[in-house]
Amino acid sequence: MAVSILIVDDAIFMRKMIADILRKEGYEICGEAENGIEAIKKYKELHPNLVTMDIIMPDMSGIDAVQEIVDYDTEAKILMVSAMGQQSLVVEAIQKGAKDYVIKPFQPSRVLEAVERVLKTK
Amino acid sequence: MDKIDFSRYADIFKSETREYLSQLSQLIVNLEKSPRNRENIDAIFRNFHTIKGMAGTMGYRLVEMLSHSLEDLLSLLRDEKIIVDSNIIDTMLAGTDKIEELVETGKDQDEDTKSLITNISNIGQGAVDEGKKQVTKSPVKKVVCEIVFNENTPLKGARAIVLISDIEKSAEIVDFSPSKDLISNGEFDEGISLKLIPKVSLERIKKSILGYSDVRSVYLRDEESEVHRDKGLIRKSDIRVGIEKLNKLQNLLSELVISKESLKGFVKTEDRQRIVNETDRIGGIVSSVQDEVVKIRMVPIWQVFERFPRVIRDTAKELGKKVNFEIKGKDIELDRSMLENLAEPLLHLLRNSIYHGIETPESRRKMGKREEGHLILEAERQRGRVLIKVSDDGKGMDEDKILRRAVEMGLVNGDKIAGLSEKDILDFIFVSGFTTSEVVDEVSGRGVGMDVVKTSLRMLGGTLEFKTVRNKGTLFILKVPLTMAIIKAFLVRTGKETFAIPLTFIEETIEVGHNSIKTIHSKELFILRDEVIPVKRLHRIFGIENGNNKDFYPSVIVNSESRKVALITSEFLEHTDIVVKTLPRTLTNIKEFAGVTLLRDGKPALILDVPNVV
Repeated sequence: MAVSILIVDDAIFMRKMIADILRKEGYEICGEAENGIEAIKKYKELHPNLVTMDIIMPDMSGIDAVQEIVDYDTEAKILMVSAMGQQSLVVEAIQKGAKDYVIKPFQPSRVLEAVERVLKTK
Repeated sequence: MDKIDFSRYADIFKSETREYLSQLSQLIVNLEKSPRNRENIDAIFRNFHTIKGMAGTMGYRLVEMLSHSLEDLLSLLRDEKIIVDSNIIDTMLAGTDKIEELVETGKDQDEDTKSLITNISNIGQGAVDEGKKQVTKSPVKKVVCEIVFNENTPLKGARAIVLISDIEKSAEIVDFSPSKDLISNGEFDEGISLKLIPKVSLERIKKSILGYSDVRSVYLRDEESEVHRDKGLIRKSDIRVGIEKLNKLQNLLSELVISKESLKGFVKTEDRQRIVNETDRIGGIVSSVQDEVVKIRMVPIWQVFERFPRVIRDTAKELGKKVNFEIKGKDIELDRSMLENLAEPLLHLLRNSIYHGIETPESRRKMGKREEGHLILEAERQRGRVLIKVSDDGKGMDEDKILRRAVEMGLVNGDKIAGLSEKDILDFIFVSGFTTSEVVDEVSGRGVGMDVVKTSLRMLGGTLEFKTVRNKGTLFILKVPLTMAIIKAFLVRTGKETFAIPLTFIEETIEVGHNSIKTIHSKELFILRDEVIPVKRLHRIFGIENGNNKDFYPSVIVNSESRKVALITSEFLEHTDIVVKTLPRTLTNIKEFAGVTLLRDGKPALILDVPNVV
């Protein structure tokens, strides 16, 4: 069964870009969400193998969403998607249970490296 | 003297014990996660010890006995005679629960407590027997893990934290260098160093670390093989204090106790004059105690400097350079924690001088210099502070190159270049992440990290200045206060708030007539003895109400790294010694403040971080 991934980002453009990179490698995009609240709802509904999570989003930030998702499923595998200059936010997300991060603008190889590594974690 | 009535202290005792207990449960839980963290073990020990002392004084015998047996258990852990297991953790937690119960109920007979104490001593006894059986049991092997990141790693602090949490799955990390907080802020140069107790093979750990493409190299080795490495130069350790210093302190404290008792008497009889005199006397004794404690904290700087020559030698060798390293002023004394915190920045400057300053023997020869570069580290006492100089006779800094790089990095746009002074240009080296391309070629992409040096000095209440001359060399001057804990400051009021300005930054205080303040390009300034001084109004910086409608403004002229600013306040208050407390975490990102202090009336006053305000 293909690995299922939920993409969370408020920009359609970014969601499409991540989806393209991942689909090319055979991952299944099982859903998309455009803010933290939606992300939590979709996570509970779809139980994806992995979530890519933007940090700055309207309504609920990626960090708060990480907290809630990890509270719900301690084994959730979340990959943060960050812009440069958000170090402290990324560190906070990691401390709350996110597994790794990638930096915008993307280098596909970096995204795939991180996705594979996060999927391997127990 | 009257017998002391302890019952008056019962409430304080209870509330304080509760505080210690709540810290303890957190510490004990941490212990389970990282059983060999020495600091943590020590903290638990201290807490039980304090509870024991208080309980003894208050006559809580059972609490005293129970804490005592827990202390014993902790000593065994500390000496690695026993290893933390879930049984020990459970027992300790049961111990804290019991102490809480005993303190709340005030029971002095309890079978439960006795069996708990027996339990604890059994654990200890088991360890002693075990120890007899295998005397030669080898201590746990610790491994030093040095990770170097690629120069352009994005958010390297976050990368390091991801790596660390990854490593924690296969090893226990017992030490971080720099500290975990600095690591997560990305405040390190090219790499970090961890001390681990591995749970899996070193090969596996290494492989998983190298799985990150941001990692350039990883180096794992046994801790024992660590000979004079340049990381962690100073171990935070106990300090030795001469007995005569302790005796002096003891005498002062006795005087203080006597004075306190007299004062009590005078208060009872409401003898005003004698109360005033005695209070003065106590003030005098307290200053002497303060002086003595500061003296005890002082250590000669050779204790750090003596480790440098080896590092210099290794670095020079690695880069194929010849360096004659000289140290002057070894016997000058500095506050211990100041010294510990100075080691890294100093080392950084010294290595920078070898990397970027001193040329290779060939090019030195071509320029008619001696093949051997001269690197000097010099300390010198100056009023209430210490000056430390790092100088080399290398090639100096290349302004053009720095400017080019600054433009590339987008730090300055084309049309502003003309307005930049030499100092403005050179100051780009303090911008985070700044490196010149030359640097990259020459030393395999190591970042200069001058911003880190400057920030750490600022955190010590110090400053960093430098002078550089092409082909002659570079001189760095560090100015640090003698101690971090107590500084001299000038208190000013602005609106309703009081601010403390460290005296080291103050040039003079004057009253500026409000007519003499001119506005040019929407910036305020005034002329003082032919010098143009920018004006900043404290109440505007902090967005508070201004309580000043007079014709003359009390102003403090501050100077930081040759930049002068007149700070306009509402009122001058006084000169005083202040005790520096660090700001709570939530406030540390307010860059205008260096810390906070408590005033005589118990109200807090913020300490201005002058370099960040000017």
